[in-house]
Amino acid sequence: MTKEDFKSPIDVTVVGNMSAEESRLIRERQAGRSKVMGIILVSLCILFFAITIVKIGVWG
Amino acid sequence: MDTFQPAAIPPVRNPAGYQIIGVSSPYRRRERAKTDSSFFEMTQHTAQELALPADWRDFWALTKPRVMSLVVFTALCGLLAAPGDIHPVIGFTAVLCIALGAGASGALNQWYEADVDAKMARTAKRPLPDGRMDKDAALQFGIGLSAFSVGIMGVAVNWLSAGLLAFSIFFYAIVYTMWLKPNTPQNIVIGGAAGAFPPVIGWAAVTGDITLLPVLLFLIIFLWTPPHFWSLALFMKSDYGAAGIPMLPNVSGQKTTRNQILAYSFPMAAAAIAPFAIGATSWVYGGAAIALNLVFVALAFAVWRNTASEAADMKPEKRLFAFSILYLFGLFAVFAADRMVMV
Repeated sequence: MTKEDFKSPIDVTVVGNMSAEESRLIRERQAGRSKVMGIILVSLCILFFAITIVKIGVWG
Repeated sequence: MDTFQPAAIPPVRNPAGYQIIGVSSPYRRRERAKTDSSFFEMTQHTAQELALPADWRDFWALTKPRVMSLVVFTALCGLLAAPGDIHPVIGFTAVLCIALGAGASGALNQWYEADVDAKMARTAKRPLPDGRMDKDAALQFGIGLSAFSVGIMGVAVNWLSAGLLAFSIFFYAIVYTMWLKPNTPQNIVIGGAAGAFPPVIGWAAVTGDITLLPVLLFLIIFLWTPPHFWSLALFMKSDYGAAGIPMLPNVSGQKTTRNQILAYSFPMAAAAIAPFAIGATSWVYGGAAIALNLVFVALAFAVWRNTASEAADMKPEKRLFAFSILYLFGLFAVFAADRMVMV
């Protein structure tokens, strides 16, 4: 089956090739999720460090 | 070469739940797939290639941030009102875990109710019914967040509060969402317990035990939930009816619901004034509790007197719903402030 098989008034589809617009949209979402995940991970590192310090009694 | 026009063609969902851009309607694809198996295979393939990762904002929306704000606030009040000291870092961790647990409950609730949410105008734009997110991702997010919040609470704070947090997630996601809500008009009466746990967990995070005062905090929210939700259900009756959820107005009628709202406001007022009555707070809280409850009962009385059946004429119900949120924030804020000065 070729791409031509999909060409009809009701099936607006491109198989395999993403347009620049779609590619940009996916990249944007991936970048957004990566940034948020990065912020969460760094925050958790700081929190776990602080919890450890408190638990071993350095901060009373 | 053909290119997509995402702005011109609205997104649709494929049978596997992925969001797809620019593909023909699911109905047309399904019809064609019945007679053309190779087309079906290709559309499955296409769907996976074109699957859009859910935006981080959709995960955030999955946690029901507005509900979470009330949970965080009541938990913080329970924590501040408890006798004894807690290190600010551990206190922050406790409130964070309670917030994450509430978010996990919200995610599991939305995962289970995606089909029901799609039928109600108020919830149709949530990430799952709107097709912006894969259902499995929501389930994994909810389970992961539950385990994480309970685990951190146990290790960093104490295992009593972790156990209470685990039970409240279980109660909301399983007992309320899966069992009570679709089966009984008393769903929010019993299910209200899930929302009443946060101040008890906050208290237990500090003291490591549960006494009469946190039980009273639990009772206040437990008895506040029915009039709060039933006033909403009265002017959202058609929405719940369309979704097939047996809320009290749909099952027993508006008159019964209005009677119940007024009936519940009295024990709620008694529970709210009880901390002052047993000498656990000063006159500051006592005065505020009496004033807030007088207004609440007056608004509940106005609802009881109302006979309107159209949402447009239900101003007393809308007023009570709006005030009930302010009531809970005000009551708990004064309670925490009073206890912090007194203890």
